[in-house]
Amino acid sequence: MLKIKNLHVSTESNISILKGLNLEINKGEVHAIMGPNGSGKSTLASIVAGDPKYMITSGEITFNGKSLTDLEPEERSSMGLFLSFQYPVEIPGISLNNFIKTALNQKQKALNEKPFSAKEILEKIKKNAEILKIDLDFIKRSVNVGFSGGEKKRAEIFQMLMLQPQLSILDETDSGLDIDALKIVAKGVNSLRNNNSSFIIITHYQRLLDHIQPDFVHVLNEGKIIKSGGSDIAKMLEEKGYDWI
Amino acid sequence: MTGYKKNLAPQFNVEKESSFITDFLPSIKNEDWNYTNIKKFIPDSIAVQPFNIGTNEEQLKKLISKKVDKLPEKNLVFFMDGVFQEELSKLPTGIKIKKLTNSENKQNALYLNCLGKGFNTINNDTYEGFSSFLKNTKLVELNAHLTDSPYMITVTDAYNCDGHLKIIHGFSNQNAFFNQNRLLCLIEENTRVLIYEEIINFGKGDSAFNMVSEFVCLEGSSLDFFTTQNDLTNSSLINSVFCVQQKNSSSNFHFFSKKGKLIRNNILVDLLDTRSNSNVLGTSLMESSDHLDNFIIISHLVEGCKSNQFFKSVYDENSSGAFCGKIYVEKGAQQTEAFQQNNNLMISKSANVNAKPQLEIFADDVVCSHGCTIGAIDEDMLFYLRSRGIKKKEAVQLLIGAFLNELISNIENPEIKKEVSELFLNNTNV
Ligand SMILES: Nc1ncnc2c1ncn2[C@@H]1O[C@H](COP(=O)(O)OP(=O)(O)OP(=O)(O)O)[C@@H](O)[C@H]1O
Ligand SMILES: [Mg+2]
Repeated sequence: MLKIKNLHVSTESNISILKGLNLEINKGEVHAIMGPNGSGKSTLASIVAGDPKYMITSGEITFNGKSLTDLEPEERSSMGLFLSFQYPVEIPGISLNNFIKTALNQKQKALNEKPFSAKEILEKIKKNAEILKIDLDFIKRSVNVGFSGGEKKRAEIFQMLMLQPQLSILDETDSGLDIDALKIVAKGVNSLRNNNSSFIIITHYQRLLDHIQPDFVHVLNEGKIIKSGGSDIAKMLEEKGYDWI
Repeated sequence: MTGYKKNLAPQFNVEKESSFITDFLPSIKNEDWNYTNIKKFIPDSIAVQPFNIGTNEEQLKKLISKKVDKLPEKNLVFFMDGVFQEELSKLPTGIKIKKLTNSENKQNALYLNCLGKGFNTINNDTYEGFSSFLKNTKLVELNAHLTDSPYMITVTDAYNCDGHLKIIHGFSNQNAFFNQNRLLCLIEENTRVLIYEEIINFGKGDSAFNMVSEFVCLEGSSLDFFTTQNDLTNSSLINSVFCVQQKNSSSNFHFFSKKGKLIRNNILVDLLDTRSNSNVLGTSLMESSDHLDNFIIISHLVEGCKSNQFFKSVYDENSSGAFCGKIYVEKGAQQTEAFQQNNNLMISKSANVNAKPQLEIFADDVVCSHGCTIGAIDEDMLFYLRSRGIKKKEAVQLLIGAFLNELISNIENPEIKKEVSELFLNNTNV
């Protein structure tokens, strides 16, 4: 599904961040990516989503066989990519409700499908809000404005469930969540996992992985994946820290 | 009298016209006109005599139908070329309209009584009123010279209207012409009125409109006044609004500016007596090479008054603009609260804006603040929207809508809110 080959990525001001990264994710797999602060995890998420602040200097990313390099972020989204941001941006004046409606129907349009009726959208909203225990009044608020840290993360997962992506990248979605919220979010992810969606879960802690069993765990350091393996790696890191590698 | 009435007021000698006009146009060196070169928009040669094209009522209705699908069925005051059209208007209870006949008034640029009691020319030596502004902006005086005699609308305490009163100022010229338009409006004691004004160029000439509106808000009255400046393609508008307020009165102005070669708003409010307050708001979206200049002075002349200026503008393509807002607080005007905010969102690199906030405060017990921002679309917000599948163009539209909606969302009247939302928000569903 997603293939990343020898990826080198720099910022606009030519600071090199990813330095030869390889990763392959197949249908239905869950990959966890761990690694110290500043190692390049969010940069990897951003470049896959198409953030114009970063550029590929060499290497390649393909999604379902198609190169992502020249695709706009919106095109990647309608192909089924989703990024849950580490720091979701606040957008005053646009309600979460209308934002998600617009996004859904733009996606339908991009896929040449007919737009959802207001009733269909409302049903989806109700269903997903219930899974995530989100109040419907909450959805009327401006996107992320004044949301608590945990509310922001929950709103990201809500958007994910609404858009039903094939591949979701969750960038530290677990940080800021209380124990109950963590379980709720994991439930949301697992509900999507059932229909063959894939996930990249970026995290510093084992605790989310207790609820969402990863198939693979990778350790990213200084712009490269330096270790890959099964879920036991995460447990070792939790106990011994990165020096262990 | 029935049928279409055309303004045939000016008696100026055609040969004298051009130099005559020039004397009244402010230069760009004039401090109140630093950012708008009016001479670029109003050529010396522009006609001030109306053309005798003999439009009859039938033709007039046809002209109107080109721009307006349907006139409101009720609560409408319609002016065409500065003349009240009784047949087209539908007055609610408690509104009086009369033409002032006292031509002595022309000695003064303004008709409103400096004490704010009504419209007459009693002078008061100690109150300077709008005189320093009028010295710099002689266009108001020009308007007084060229308008036959103004209409006065009185909103009496018997006023009763469900919803809002619409005032349409239409212009019908087929050739370039310098139109003058004058309106006086008196709000009686303890009376509330919501007026929605629209300025529409039904003609096709690249005309100029020099409009002057004067408001007197008597004790305890409340005026909500919204203006849409949109149907002014190829035209220039100089819109001067003066408002004097008595005790416990309140005024809320909201200027919606969108389409016009030049839109210059002069908005001057004098808070003459205690516990009066004024909100002056502006929402605008400028494109092509259009130019918008909002010039505001709110004067706190006595203690215990409140005011707020809040202007939000979007500039796209090659448009340009200026915001000059002044808060003046007279000596002794204690317990004043006065705020000012101006936010500009620049969409294109070739658009530009100048902002000049001014505070002149001569009292010490005053809460005042002002803030101004000029910025582009936030890249992180744009990426966030796009990452959810929203196309760049639509995402920009959404962000423009979100920016402009801050003031629009507070409009209480649902019909006006709907019209204004359609004008600015492009059905973007913010
Ligand atoms: N736009 C940018 N300009 C300059 N430096 C950047 C930019 N984006 C990222 N970096 C740098 O690249 C490095 C990797 O950042 P990144 O956000 O990918 O780290 P991370 O692994 O997600 O860290 P954390 O665990 O703290 O979230 C950091 O040193 C960061 O300062
Ligand atoms: Mg990060």
